[in-house]
Amino acid sequence: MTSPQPPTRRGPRLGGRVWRFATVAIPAAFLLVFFVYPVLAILGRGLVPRWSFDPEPVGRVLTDAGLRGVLWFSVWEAALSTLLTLAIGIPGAWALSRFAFPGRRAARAFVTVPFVLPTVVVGAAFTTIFGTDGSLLAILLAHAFFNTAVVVRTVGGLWSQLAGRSEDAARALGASPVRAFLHVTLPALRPAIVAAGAIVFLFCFTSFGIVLILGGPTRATLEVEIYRQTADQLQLGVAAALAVVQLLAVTAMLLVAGKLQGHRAVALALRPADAVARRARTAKERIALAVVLVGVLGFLAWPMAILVARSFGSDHGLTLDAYRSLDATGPGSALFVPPVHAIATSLRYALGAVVISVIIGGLASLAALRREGRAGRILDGALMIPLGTSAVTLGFGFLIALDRPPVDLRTSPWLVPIAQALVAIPFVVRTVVPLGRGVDPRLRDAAAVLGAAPARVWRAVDLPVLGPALALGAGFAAAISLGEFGATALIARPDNPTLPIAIFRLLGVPGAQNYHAAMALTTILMALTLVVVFAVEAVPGRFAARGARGSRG
Amino acid sequence: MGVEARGIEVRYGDRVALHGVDLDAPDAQITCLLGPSGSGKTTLLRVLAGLEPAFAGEVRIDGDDVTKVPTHRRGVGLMFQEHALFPHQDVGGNVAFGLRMQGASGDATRSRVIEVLDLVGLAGFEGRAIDELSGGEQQRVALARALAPQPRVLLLDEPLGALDRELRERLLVDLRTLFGRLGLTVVFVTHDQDEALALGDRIVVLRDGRVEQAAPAAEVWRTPASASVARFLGCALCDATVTSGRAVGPWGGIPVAAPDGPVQLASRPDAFRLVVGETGDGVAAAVVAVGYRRDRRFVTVQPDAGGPPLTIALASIDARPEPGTQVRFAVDPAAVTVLPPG
Repeated sequence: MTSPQPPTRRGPRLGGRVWRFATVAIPAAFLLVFFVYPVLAILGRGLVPRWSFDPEPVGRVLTDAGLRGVLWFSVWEAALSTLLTLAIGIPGAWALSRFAFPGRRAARAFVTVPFVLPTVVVGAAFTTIFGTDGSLLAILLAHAFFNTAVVVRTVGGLWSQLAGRSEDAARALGASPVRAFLHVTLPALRPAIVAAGAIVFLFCFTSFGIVLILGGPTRATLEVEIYRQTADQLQLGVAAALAVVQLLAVTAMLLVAGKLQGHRAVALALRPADAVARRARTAKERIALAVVLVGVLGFLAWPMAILVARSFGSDHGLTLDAYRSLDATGPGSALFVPPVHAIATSLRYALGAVVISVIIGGLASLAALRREGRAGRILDGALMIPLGTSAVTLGFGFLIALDRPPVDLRTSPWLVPIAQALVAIPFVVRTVVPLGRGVDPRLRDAAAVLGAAPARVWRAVDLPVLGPALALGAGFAAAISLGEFGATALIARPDNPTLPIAIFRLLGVPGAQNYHAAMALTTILMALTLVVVFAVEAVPGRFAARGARGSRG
Repeated sequence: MGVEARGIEVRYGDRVALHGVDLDAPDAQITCLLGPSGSGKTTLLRVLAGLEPAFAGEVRIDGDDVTKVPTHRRGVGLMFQEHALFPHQDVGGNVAFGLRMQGASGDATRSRVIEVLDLVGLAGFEGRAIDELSGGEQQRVALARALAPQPRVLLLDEPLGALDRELRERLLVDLRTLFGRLGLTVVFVTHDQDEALALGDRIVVLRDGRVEQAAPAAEVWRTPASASVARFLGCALCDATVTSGRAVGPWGGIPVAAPDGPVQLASRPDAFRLVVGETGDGVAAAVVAVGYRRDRRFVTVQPDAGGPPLTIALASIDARPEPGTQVRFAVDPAAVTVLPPG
């Protein structure tokens, strides 16, 4: 005789087979039509033009000196940017994770601000200092500005949990602070440093907005070159070949990063975060802390401050002229519509992208959370792939695949939101799944013992966590959509520019009035993004975190 | 009546966690499942609750066969070691949960919540958030939540494990009183002998997925059924040989009612008497170590005649034998249990 299968051991189970099938099938279909099909179209254009395998376009890219230069530049600027970011981020992680000081929480929140900013905002901010004529330093600094948060969060996250005991032990055994750091702390931090470095390298390698705005006519990453070949030169074959090279390079990088991570399973003595933060003790320590804090925070505050200041600037001192000019199509304007129009467009697209990514990402998360669902696990992985595919490649794929039957969305108002949702869905899934997994299974047991049927268990235990998690995901999706530039740049209609595109166009035309207008729009986009990000993080984040942590003993 | 389980078998792949275990938890009594970690006691509790599927066996609650009844319709209460309180609901919401599942009216729920919180000494805590509570308060809320729907049987899985010692002892007394007053059928899982002896009417000792002994608490303490139970309870053990009613070994000659041949003797640490000095009654031994455990002094001695060292609980802390001192000890024959040779 066997006992009944206890109903609570499994994840969410709503309404049986149909529902289960839908959670897998709908996201899978979405992915097939809007990701796999466009990517296949690129591969077709790049490798199989005229219906036979022909590596010639890709070969031409790899032998053409100019295009090889683009590939080489993508690699070395990414390497330099990564080193610079680590050089700024690791001291920042040290200061923000090891020490308690007044304003620490605010400083930590502030460090993450640049990372949520659209790349166009970052690029525009650095034009205020370096102009637009191709300064390499501007590109590297902008990348470091954008990515410092990745290093501070990843490395600092581990650092704040590292028990200080092994470092103390090394000190007691006679190691100087520097040697204790080099021989004990640094090896313990290596996994986080490698992980952060890999992510930063990938971001910089596929950097688009920053290089397009700051690189001038001469410097280009693969992303920028794909865009230029498509939008300026109309060389779709070359663009497709470049996109194939980019896809291969990114895949190789992800594989290498995965291998590195696989080898790094280190047993570490972890403590709850913040347990090791302490006040600076010696004068030397206090000086070092002050220098690092002023340096890192100043580096991050400086471009944003100048940006805001410029948006209020004009020939006659501080004014609101730039903002007033936004509701008119001024003479010489590069836009076909008043700049305020772009705000409405951006908000409309963001709403669409949020709806799509929450539905698709939410369904996929439910599928991934069902433990027995192998299809769910595969889907979980498959939804991450768009992350590795660059946004420009996605946009390019949409351009060549979705403009004719069977899928003709050329004039659909959904085209841009769908592309933006594709970029946002991995973030939604990555937000919801870990929080959902974090639900203490004993809570489900407790609810069942108290008489809750399986659907009630799900409502009582899982939903209170998944709801806020989805809200958080929606916030990320909105922020991503507002700032999305790579895909949107290729597929947005000229008379419906989004904020990043309007900014980019205004930066491309001469005239102080246009420049100030661009700064005003950039300031508005920055404010919108920050409002969205902090609003969602502030309200449900507390509950999501609490639910995920489960009860404490 | 109460809870009966027959032939419960649980397997995880090839590993057998429970080998056809029988359990009787009589009505209105506290039954303690005692055993080291990995003995299968929590698994058995989860089978009773319906949270763990059994490969074979049968569970009855108050005579009803509930083997095929899913957890949420079994009418059991369960308390976890980590309390498993719903973090997004306040104290009142947690306690009311089971009542809502029963479809109780709002008024009935409210008054029952107040009643149960009062019962566990948390009157007025309804609106508190879970993460504002101390460990002991969380434990009481978990108890209130389990009691509120008036379960037919209350299952507790190491409910005091996460608490510090002083709090644990206070709560043990409270629980004992409360369960007695409510006349509840209770199954209580613990790895702590003191806890089991303090709380249990009956004790079921589990080891490696099998029942080693099931008996009233005093009987388990007085006459452990096997060497492993004796060792787990903290008894001293030694080998001896019985010749015409006397067991001779490192503890001297002890009158026993057993046939001739080799045996194992077991005795509680408090059944020994210790005399400082080299002559007199008893068996010669040397003090190896001295220690305190709370109000008692424990002396570990090595019998001159050989055998394993044994630990003796002194009745008072006045005697102060130093390590190295020669002493003599004797054991109360009534407290000695004769076991098969090891």
